Amino acid sequence: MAIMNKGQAKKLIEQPDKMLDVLNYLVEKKIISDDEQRATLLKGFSKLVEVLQEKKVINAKAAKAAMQGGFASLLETISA
Amino acid sequence: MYGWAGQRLRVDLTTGEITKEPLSYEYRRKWIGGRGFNSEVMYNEVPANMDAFDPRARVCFGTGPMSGTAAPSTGRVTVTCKSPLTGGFGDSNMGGHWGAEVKYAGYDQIIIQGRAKHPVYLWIDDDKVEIRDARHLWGKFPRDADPMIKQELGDEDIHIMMIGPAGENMVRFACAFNDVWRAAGRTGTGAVIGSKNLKAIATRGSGTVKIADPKKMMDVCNRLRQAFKTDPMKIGLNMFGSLCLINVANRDGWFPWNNFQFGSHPLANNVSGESHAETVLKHREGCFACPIACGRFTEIRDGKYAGETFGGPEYEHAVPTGPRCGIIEDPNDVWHNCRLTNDYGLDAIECGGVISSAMEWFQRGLITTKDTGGLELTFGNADATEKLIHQIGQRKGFGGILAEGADRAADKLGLPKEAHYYTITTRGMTLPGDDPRGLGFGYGLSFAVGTRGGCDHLRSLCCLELSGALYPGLNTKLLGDESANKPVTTNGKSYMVYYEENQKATTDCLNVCCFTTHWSYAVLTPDQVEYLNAATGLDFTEEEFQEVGERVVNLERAYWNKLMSGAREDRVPERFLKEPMPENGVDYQTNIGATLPLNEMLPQYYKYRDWDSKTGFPTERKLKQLGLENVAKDLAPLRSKYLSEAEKKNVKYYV
Repeated sequence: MAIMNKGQAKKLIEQPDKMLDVLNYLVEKKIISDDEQRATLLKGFSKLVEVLQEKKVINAKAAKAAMQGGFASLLETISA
Repeated sequence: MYGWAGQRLRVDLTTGEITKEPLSYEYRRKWIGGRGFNSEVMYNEVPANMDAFDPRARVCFGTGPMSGTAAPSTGRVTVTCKSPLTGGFGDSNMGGHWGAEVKYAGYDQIIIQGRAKHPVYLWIDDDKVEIRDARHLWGKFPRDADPMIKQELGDEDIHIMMIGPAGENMVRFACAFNDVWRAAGRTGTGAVIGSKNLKAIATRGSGTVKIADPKKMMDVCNRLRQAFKTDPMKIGLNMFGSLCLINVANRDGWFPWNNFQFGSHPLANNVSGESHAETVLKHREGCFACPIACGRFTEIRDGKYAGETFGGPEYEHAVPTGPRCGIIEDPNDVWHNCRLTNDYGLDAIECGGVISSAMEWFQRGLITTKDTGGLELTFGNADATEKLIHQIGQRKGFGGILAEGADRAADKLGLPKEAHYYTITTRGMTLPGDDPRGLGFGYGLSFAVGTRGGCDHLRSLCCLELSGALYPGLNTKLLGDESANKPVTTNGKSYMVYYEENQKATTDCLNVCCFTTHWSYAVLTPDQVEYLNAATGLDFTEEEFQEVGERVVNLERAYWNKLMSGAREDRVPERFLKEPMPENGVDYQTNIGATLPLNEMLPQYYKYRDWDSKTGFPTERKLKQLGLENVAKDLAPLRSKYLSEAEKKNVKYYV
């Protein structure tokens, strides 16, 4: 599911530290809740992938790719 | 009760009163144990502006719910007090077996307060607790006093926490030991123990730790022990101890040669773990229930120190009074200095830090032989270094001034502000022998914000960048960015420090060794939650568990904030910001030209923490989220006061 444009994704990918800004974007767009943001911060990137897969924002194949490619892969998947 | 003993022991050395206090379910759930229990006591019982040596100040020894269990490496103890070195929050953590023994005696925590009229030691024999005369032990090295106490009490198998002469002399960076050689090195806990006229705590515990689900517990522990067998960091630590890092540090340019003027040296291998194992290693040692066994025991076999033996050294034991002071040609000089810092009960990092700072003052002409009592304090002068260690331990001569710590010594000597450039401290604490221009930018950030001053090689322990490359995929799983495993980059580092500080805080609450987790990576956070729940019968989630760590970090931060230490003091020594890493004749060094881009990482770190960027204070929202409403109330009137003081831009080197 595309939830940001390629330009937004590129900008985030180029940031040295991405986690908080990605999470803030997802909260702002109501893709994830405040509680899910908090859980991700405490548990790490894999929690974000889990949440997005549960919400069907990404499928199993994209989740697996994200666990290998990190934010670069995830942001590529959720942008169009 | 499962996991915990359920009570703490409080001893008032002024009145002789000994009490046992139950620890409620809510309290244990909120703080877990160890560092959590101790930090709570510090915040609520020791006013921030109280002098560290005030008899009313507390020193706390905390074990955790895993202490004494079969989980990997569960003999540790957190020692906490107001730091006489920094003036702020202080704690340190030691291995050995004493932590398990305290737990078997029936206590999760020991709090000492007051001051005895003469030197005493505490004898804890399960539920019998006695204050005994220690005048005959005062002045003795731990290796001599330990067998005397055991003989006196008629039991060779007891375990003893003890200070050395440096603690008795209240050297501001004296440390506490147990089992003679295992040190809680940092922040000057030994000096506070000494100020209370307490030489030792001898302990015999004949009880056990009740486990809620023994089968589950053994299944988890057996699985984790299997994982250690192939863990690459475990293998290196077991074979060469933490000295395994010497050659890595030299390659990656974080070897603190001549007080961090260089990051490498062609002779570094002289003091490497590999060389140590070939020449002076007598045997390897492990702490309680440890699958790693990184401890060394050394016997010097030739030269003028032939026959000397001691427990150690560690990387952070050998480097400070060795290469940091320019000593490397004869490794026996380095091993001998390690033995001396052990004997006196000195924090080796701080001891090497103050001596190497003084050497650089001497190099720059800020002090002369008139100040040093005739000592030619040139880098590499092993005889002068040895003399200074004796002087510091005894608080005599020029060493008596250095016994105050590097920043205080600079002020006592009346040196210009320039002298602080060479002290390599944050919040009055000397950094360990790890140059962040090479070890990693995450480490550099953690030095700036660490809640016990600039020593946080064990506080956030950014091994995701030190050893992350040995664990492919791990940085992606946790941080979403595999490139964070490269030391000299800012990629993912703000989040890394936030995550690792929380993780290390919970590890210290459990009081298991951080070498078992997020150093080696055989044990990850979900594994810790699994064995905690198996032991206690509770139902911690990973989020709740990590939130305890976040709570502890914020409480400790608030202690500093109450002392008007915040964003302005979140700094690292300017050398790392201003001086590009030079080359020093090691052609494979990887970080030539690097400086630490602290200001690129710090604002984002504050956002993760939800700390106000101007003050560096936790926001009211964050404190309430963590159940720290009383702390929010305490800090409310101080925020504007801090801002008005910060406008003066006078960084406090210590408080």
